[in-house]
Amino acid sequence: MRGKTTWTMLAAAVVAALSMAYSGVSAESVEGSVRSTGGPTKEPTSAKDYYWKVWNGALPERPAADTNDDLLAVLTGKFTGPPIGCTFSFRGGALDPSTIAARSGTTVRVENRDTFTHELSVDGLPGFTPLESGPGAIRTIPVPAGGPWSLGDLYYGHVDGYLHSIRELVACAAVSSSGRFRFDDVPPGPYSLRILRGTEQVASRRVTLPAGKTLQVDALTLKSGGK
Amino acid sequence: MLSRLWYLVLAVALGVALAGAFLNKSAASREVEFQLDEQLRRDRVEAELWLRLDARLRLDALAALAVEPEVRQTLRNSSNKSGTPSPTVRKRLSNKLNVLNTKLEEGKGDIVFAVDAEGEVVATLDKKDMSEQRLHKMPLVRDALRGFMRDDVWVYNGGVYRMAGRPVFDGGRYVGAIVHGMAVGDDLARRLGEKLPNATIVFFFGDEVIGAHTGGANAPTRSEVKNGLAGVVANMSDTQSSVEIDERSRAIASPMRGDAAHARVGYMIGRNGSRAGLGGLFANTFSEDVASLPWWAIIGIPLALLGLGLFLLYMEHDKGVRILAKASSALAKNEISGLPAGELRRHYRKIAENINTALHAGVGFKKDAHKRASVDLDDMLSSTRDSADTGYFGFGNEAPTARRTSVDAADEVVDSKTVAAKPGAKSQPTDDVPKTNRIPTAKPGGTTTARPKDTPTARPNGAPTARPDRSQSSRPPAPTPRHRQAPAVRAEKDVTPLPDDPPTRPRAIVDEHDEFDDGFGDTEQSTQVTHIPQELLERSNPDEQNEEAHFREVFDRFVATQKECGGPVAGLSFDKFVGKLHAAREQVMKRHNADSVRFTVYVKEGRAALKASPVKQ
Repeated sequence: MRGKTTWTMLAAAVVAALSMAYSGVSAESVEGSVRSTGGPTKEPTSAKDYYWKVWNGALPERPAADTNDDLLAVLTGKFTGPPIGCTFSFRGGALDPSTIAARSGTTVRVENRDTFTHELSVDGLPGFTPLESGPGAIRTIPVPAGGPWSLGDLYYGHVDGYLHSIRELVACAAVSSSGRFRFDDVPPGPYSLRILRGTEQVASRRVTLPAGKTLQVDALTLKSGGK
Repeated sequence: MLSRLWYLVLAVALGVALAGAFLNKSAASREVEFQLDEQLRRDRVEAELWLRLDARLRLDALAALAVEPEVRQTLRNSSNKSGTPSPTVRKRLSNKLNVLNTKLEEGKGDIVFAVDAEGEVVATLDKKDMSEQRLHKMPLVRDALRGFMRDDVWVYNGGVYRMAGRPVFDGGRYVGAIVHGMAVGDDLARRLGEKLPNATIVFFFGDEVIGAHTGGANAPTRSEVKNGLAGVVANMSDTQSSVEIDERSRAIASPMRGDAAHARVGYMIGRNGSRAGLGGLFANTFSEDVASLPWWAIIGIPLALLGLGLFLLYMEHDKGVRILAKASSALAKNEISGLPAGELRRHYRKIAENINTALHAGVGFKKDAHKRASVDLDDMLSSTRDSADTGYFGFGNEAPTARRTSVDAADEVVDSKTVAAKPGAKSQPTDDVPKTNRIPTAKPGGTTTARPKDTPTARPNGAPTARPDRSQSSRPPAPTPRHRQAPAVRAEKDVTPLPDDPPTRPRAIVDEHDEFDDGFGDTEQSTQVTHIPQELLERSNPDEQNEEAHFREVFDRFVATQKECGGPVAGLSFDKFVGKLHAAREQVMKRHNADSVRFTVYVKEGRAALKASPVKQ
């Protein structure tokens, strides 16, 4: 008897958990993807440096993958709560993603998740002073209206990025190397889905997020350019 | 003028030499600076090549780690779907990395990472570090994961490291990379400095020196280079030119190739240049340079110019001075009568001419003026001669007595007075010509001289008597019986009766009459004639009579003297002689504003000569 009750309670818990989990994903998430108009545009192999690269390489060159780490998907709309998912970091030696956004008049946090020091710089942003940020440190950037501003690292020249100030920013999501993105815990309602690359908005679409459902957005085609 | 021109040439040459020296100094300084700049640029190129070679050597050394089976296997496993290996595996790989790193010896890394294909750090030299770490966005790692061997410079947690990344491939695919880093510090500076002797190497991170090496005593010190760091860093964008860090040192800077250049990590090479002051112009002169100099021109031209200058100086100055000195000496010895102006040039000729003119004019010290009153008749009449070849009296061989100057005459007079007591004095007048001079003074008392020898009268220079009431009676032409005596006799009364007294002694009439008056004392007034008959006055006419007698006497004495000297007298007539004397008298009277002139004969250079002495009343 005692064992039967136990099994019943365990089954109920599992069902409840599955039910809650399923209902959370389907009701307040937005999923989508992007696709480029052409092939990889970064780091074309020119005749000039081909010999150097081959000379330096032990194996034939492996094409550089389009990591999309310079893409940022944002939702904008009538939402007064704090922006969702708009925290950024240094990871792997650079900003991840390199394009970041913040609601105008608020702050944005950049965490150093590397094991070495970074010193973030924001060109032209008033009131911001570059400071050395050790591993695990978080740098808070006050974001006024305007922008976008160029980001950099005083220690590493390869680090670059752009900070956008968006007045009705609701949520932020990075785009994976496969081109997919996902917004979680977004309140239902009409939004504008925008894809930012560098200083440009390379794709946008108006979407309405229904309550209790996951919105699947058709793939957005990115415009060329962006930096 | 030529010697002055020579001074100008000398000054110009000196100026040119100085200008050349300073220009040469400037040019040498520029050349030294240029050479130093070129040397520093070569140093920078050499440093770049050495750093690349060093990176290549490190990359090659990393092969020992990249091909290690345990490394390959661990990274392959990490790159698979299985994900990051367990801590135990990671620690074991860390130990392996330490062992392999130690074997690199000089190329041993200070930091070493083994990263999988996703860029996640699987193992480091610190086996306790098990934190999640990714480096996939570092260009070095990204390229290494793509199959390239790359080197870079990182600023990693405050340190600066020369990084090298080598891909690790296993089973025909890339499974990860070995990332190796060596700290930039004194050791790297030393190794680089060995390739650049006499240079100081400094590695810097911003304004901080992180490594330095001084290349000996000839290289700038570390502090000197550090002092110039700010200026060099500011100029680091221009890697083609050096920057002066102090008076004699320059440095060139270059960012270290790699990511850290963004963080102002670079190196600086400093060198000392050779001094190029005026004293240092010859610092870099070799014996070959000295041997190749055109010594014939360097020595010969200045010597030739020196000789030319000395010659011009001699011709323009020394010769004239020498002639003047010789002539003045001869003049002082009475060997010549004037300075040889014709042998001189320009200023010296002018000086000689002026002196000759002064000698002719009898110009001199005022106190001696009365001594120079007598004039050599030859000179007085020289202007009346038709030619220098013709003698004064028409004799063709009279040249030796020509061109006598008035100074001669004055000297003769002075000498005759001063040497009156000296036996054997030169140019003594004939004993009998100025006979009147030997007549003792009329002053009673047996005094042989009318006044102290060589003592001028109390009234200098024959000034009018201080007793105007006697002036009338003291004048020779006065028609008193006493004054009607022969003027020669009367004049002789008060002349010093010295046997050697030359006949040219000036006759100060006032003095004579002083003595004359003194001789008669107070009786003058009582014997004065108040009325003189006209015929007596006409008969007396003492001037003409005395003059005629004087001329006759002078002529006779001249002829006699000429004969005594063995000179020709043929053709010498009294009329012609008198004519000349008249002309001479007029000149002397006019020149000296005298009332009359007395002529005396004396021997000059073995011939008879005449002197004219102005007589003032």
